[in-house]
Amino acid sequence: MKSLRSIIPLLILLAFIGCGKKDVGTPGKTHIKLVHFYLDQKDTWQHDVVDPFMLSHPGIEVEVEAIPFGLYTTKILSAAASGSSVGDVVVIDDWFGQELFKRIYTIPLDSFFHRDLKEDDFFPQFFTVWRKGNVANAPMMAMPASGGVTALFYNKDLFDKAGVKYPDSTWTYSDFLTAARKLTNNATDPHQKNWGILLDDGLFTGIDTYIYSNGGKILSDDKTHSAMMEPATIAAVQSYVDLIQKEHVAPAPDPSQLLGQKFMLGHAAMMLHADVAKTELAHATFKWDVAAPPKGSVGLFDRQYGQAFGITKTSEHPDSSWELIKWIVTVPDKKGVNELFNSAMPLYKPLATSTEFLDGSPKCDRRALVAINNSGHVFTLITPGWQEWRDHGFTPNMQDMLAGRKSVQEGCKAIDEKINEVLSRSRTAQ
Amino acid sequence: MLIGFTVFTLGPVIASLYLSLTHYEIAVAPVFVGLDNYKQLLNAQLFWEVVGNTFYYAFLYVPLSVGVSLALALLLEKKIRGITFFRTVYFLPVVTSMVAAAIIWTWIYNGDIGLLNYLLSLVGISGPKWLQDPHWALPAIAIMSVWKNAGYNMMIFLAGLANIPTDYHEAARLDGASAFDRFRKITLPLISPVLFFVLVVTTIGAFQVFEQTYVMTNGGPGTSTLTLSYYIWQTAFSFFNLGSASALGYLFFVIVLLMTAIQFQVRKRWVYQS
Repeated sequence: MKSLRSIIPLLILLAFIGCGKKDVGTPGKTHIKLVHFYLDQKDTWQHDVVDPFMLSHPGIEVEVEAIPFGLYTTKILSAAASGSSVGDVVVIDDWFGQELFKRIYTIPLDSFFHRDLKEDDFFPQFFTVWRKGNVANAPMMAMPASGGVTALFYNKDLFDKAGVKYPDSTWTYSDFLTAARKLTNNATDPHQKNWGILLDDGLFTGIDTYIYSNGGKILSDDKTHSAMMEPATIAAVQSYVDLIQKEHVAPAPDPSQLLGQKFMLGHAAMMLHADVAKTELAHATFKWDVAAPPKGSVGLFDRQYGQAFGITKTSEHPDSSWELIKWIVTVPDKKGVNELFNSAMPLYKPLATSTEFLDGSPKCDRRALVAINNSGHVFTLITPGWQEWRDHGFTPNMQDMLAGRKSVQEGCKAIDEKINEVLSRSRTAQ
Repeated sequence: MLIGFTVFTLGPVIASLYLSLTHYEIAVAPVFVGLDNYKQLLNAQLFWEVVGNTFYYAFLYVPLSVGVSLALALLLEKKIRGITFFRTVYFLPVVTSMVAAAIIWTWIYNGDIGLLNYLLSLVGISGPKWLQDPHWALPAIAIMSVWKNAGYNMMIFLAGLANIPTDYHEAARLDGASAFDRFRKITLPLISPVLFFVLVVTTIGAFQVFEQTYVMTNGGPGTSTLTLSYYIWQTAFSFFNLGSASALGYLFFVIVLLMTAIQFQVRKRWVYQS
């Protein structure tokens, strides 16, 4: 009891210290804090975005906190859960954006956007995923800044060696398969073995684009149910599985390998992968490039991903925060625009079509990727609980199908049940 | 101390018990749902697959780990020249980062260009595609874990062996007892309390396997290496379903508690009490 009495004043003191409002910033200036996960580009952000912004807006002072990506989500979501503040402006990745919007952790930006920016200046198909509930016309909870699509990466050295013409935007999956057959060699020594294609085994880095372009669907159009048992989907999955099981132009999936590892090591001539992989290939020992994914039976439908910036509801300076966001998404002097978003494509058209981005490092046919965004055929698979149905339904069953442990019918049925179970549970919870 | 215990231990334990009775997605306030999370988990086929994987891993890992540790301790208890060097070498994996070790072992296990299959090919054996094959992936992870952790139990066994009076062995030797008889009749009974401790701690450790499956297989191929700890982590920090993850945590706790209780019950039959 005695020791408790001596502790109580200390606790009260600590509580006062903890509750005290931190006085930060230069007097007379509006102080806002930007929090992002572009740790490797921290200097670029400071020199090419924040410093010019403060020069242009002398009344606003910006503090920047760069958090490693691995810790970022936990920190932001914990803040959302507790209602505490991490800053005024936060970068949000699409895979966890809807989790924040459920809690209305960020404020709607529609009025700011319509006041200061023009929708035509952006790729509008990237906007829905930033609206509450991933529904068109719902409040826009974050301002889309950068995005990407699935691209066809190819190893030019292996194409040259096999005498195969490089892929282009006219390619169909028939051309893709013909090339893959020629690019797969018969070597039995694993060090000499080259595969035509490296397949995504269910993590949505290519298989989704393949299925949708070939007339299949993973989700119903309103994203409330699975579409895995639709005949077109089963046919698309079967043809994908056949690339390994029947055509032998792709290796069996290996969950112990990093995404795209065989391509990165020069043992696969092609891979469908999120275009962000170009940064990982910057130091590849072989020549490579990107092209639009081949067209399937219904054309090209490409899966999108992206990042956006939101203003937290705890921010006391939403107007200044919006000024910063506007600056970030439009980068008026275009400096550093290639590095800012880790070489992902800016969604502001003047930036996406600028030479600073198109000819940025690593050099590749970025024009082909921008052209996909212009076409409008991009889709997203973000739903409530999407990671659960992917990780416990789609990926393990796809691995089993690709390895021949499950028939396509069985695998698709199992995925179908998992997707519907998760989506139904999410609906009930709402 | 009381405040620290309440804030950092008792508080989270009670809070997670409450959260296990709620539907709680990280960014949305918890809603009380009673035992729904437990019912859903117990009715889910995946949960039982995961429990099966975890038991299978423990079944492989615990006897192997305890056996190898004891064998190493018996070899390294001899007072010969350079023994400290060998003890250090066998202890080294324990102080190595699990993530680094797991990455290296991923390469060792590579089905095409891995060291293990190369060594097996030298003696005419065509090795499996260890981490790509659902039948081999979990045993492969168990073997790697034995390599990683055997040194720790070895040190505990060495301490236990050092406490056996040498007179017992000398007397038995004079009576003509073989090395195996001395091990069975003297060493094993006298280190049985240590063996029991190692068994309990290793079993609990086996049920907590996480980093290896996270780094080496991500729970695959299929769901063949999805274990309880990884499942809890996924549910909480990948699916953001903290209510369900808390319920999983409590189910996990009950399983470990039951296993430990069984071990304590069986102890009376084989642990020598001096």
